[in-house]
Amino acid sequence: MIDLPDASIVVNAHREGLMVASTLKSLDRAKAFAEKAGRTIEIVVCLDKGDDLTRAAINQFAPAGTAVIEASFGDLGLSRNFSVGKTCGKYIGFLDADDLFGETWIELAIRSAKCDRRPVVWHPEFNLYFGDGPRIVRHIDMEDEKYDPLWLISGNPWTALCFADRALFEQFPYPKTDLSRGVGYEDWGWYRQVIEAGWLHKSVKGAAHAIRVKPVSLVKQTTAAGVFPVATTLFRKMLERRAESAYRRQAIAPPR
Amino acid sequence: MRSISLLQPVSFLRAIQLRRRGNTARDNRNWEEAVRWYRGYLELRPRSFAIWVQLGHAHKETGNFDRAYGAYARALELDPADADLLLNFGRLLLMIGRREEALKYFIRSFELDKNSDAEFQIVAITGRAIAATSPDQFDEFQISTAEKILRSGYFDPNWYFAKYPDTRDMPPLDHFCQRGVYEWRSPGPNFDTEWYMLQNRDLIPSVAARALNPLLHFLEHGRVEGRSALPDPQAHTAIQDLLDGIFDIEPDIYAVETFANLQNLKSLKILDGSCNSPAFLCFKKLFASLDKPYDYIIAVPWLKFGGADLVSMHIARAIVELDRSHSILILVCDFANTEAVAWLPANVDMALLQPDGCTLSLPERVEVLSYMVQAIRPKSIVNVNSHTCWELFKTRGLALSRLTRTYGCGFCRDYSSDGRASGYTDTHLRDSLPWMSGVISDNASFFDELTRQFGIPDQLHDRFITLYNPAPEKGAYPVSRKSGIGSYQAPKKSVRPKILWASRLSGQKNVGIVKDIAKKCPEFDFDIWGKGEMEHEVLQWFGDRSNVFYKGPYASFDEIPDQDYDIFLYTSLWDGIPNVLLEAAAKSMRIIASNVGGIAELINDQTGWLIDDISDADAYVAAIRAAHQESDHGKARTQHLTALLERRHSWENFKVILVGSGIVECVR
Repeated sequence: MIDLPDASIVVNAHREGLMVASTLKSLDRAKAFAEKAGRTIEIVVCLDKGDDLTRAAINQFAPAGTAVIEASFGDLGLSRNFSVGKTCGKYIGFLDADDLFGETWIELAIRSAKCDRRPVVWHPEFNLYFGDGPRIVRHIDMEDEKYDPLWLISGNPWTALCFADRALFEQFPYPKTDLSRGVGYEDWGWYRQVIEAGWLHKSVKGAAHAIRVKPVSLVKQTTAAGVFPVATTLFRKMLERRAESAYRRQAIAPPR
Repeated sequence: MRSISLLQPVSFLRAIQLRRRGNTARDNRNWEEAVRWYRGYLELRPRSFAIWVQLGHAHKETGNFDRAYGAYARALELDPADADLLLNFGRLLLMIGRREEALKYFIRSFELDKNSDAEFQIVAITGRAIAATSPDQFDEFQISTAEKILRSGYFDPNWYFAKYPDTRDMPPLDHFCQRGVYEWRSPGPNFDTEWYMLQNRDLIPSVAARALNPLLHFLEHGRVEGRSALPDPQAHTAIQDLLDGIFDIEPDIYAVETFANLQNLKSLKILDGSCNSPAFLCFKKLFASLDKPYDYIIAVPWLKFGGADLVSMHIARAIVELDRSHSILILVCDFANTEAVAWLPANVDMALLQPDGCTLSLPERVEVLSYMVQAIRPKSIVNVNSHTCWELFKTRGLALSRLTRTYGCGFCRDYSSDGRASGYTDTHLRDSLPWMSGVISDNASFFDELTRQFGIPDQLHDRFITLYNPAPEKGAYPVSRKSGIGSYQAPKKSVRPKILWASRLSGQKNVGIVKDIAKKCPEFDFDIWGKGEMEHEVLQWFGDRSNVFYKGPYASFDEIPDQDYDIFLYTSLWDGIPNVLLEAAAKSMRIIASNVGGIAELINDQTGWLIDDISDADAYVAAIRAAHQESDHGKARTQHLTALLERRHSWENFKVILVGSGIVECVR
């Protein structure tokens, strides 16, 4: 019987050029840290409509044993879905090719996922945003008393670099981004969909990522396009539950 | 385009108009509009103390404190001894955390007229009765500050001594209050002043000016706002660990001083992903107030006793009648005025986009509305003249079209007071139409005009929906008891023939021409009914004329004693098919109306008297005399008009068009 990897890390690359080197170096360290703890880690780099410089950087800095695949979707969500099909780990985590993992992330994420058998999407507790407008952002945990589900109407509380059981990604593929048809924010829309399906978003205590903020980013372009995330009935269902509950209260209320 | 000149190019008149519009916007709590009008006024009348004060209020309400400060300061230059202004200035300073300065203004205000508001503020700040205030109020304030700090438990004199040995020439509390806090020294182990300042950088200028005590700010504001008093050790440990692992590999980290050491990291803002924007908080309140999801949203600017408001009520009522399982929300998007709430049909809910006194800018209102549509996902959203909703259609039309069907109403092109076409169909339709499911109008002529003006191609013409308004039904919409309208006592039938003019008293309705018509028709009496921004002018125009009478406002056409009138006169400069004409037609009145917009679809030589030269009083006079004299012929015209109403303006026909056009889904 073949032992499957504990986790597969998918790196989504496009045209990040030389910045890929830092990303892959950080991933190599995080992989080594997890392997020291006895984990087996698979790395898949998906180069979607990439350029030669990025391809060369990937080939030079990808950790040993990395599978490099090429795609021509020009779409981050579809690229992630495609990559998931090329992995075989029990858990899958994503890394964008201009961001950096903390050294302990993969190990802490696996440990958290193994300890909690509920359907959970894991995120690091902290993100260090560097580049344009440095700041620290603490990821909210849905079981934190401060968490408000309505936040998801106005913004995405979590970065795209999540970690979860592969069943999640197989059951709920990411939606396609199509700015020309008014749909953007593939991860924000997807998070709303998986919450609607009953998954929790939780944070891995003490773990952190470094997220690069560029003057011109996909998120900024998407915001400028005036689009929405893919439609959800998450909030409408809240109102339906409210109406049902009021109806039940009326039904059992004693006659006046 | 017709040339419309309603105002003479005299700055005096312009100034009065700007001021009045500013006041109206202020009364409607539309603060951004108020700012615009008041600023326009001040360009013409820069030494108007009262309007500088109003501008300051308006800026303050929009949250633009810097500009509010500037406006109040200008007013203060013009009159430094106005107790109200001093009080408001003090309140503004208090809002931006400049308590000590605020106190000085409250004291000056109180000294001028002993007003209780200033007294209240002084007591609130100093914690002392007003009788205890001394001329040396500043020292009193310092004592009060020291007391508050001591009582808070955050000050630890032993810790302070040990931490800052250079301060030992003064008692520690005195040192902290008078010097230390402004040097970013901490009062004890549980409040890190430097951290608080770095996390709340907007406070730095006030602290540098010694106008704000950071610890007091935390105690009185920051604590309840969730601001932290101390660095977050978990965050810094995690980030330090992260940096330890990647510091040598990423130049945008190792080359940047911010990440060089823990001390520098403390200057980074720590956010928690929560959303506290005014738009989100407003949406949260609105969402919490809903008790069910809705199938249809009808967006309106307000809910007043107006023609467009009536259209929104017709649509809501028809949707309910078509299928009682439909849920409908009238969403009042732009202003808090809901005087016509009594018009709401049964089983139709209403909500304010800005509940509980929320005051948002236009972009923020658009944001709230976009949240609402995403959250509720109605089958259709019908916009009946809401600026917020038109702006949403214009800026997010494509994205919106994937969530719901969108419809906008347009009845005629609208014009500004200087004659420029400036309605939503001019400012918003071009960008919105490609993504809209339909444009609704109460007349077909308007679509011809839009097509001519904007070159709308044939493939978009199927989005034009002519929805003729139903003729009035008695009792369909109750009149608000609050209106106070209807007190007019009908005069006994006079021997002199009487003409009825009823509409909104505005430049658009051209009530001014009645003055000329009446002068040329001394054998008729003219009664003017209505209200609007030209009420004052109307009173002045007609007060001294023997054959013109201003009868005041009406909430329902039924309140007008129509049996007293022979002829209905309508003089509008631009219009769709106004509801008041349907009202007059339903009363079988002889109608003389200006030939603008869609009016010719209702009034023509068969059904009434149509005036082509709308600025010619003589044309109206000739029609009035003809209508009065040709009694038999006139009767034939009213019969034709009644037949047209029954055929085209029936309630059933209205519902059929709503379903046929796809605005309402009806499976039954």
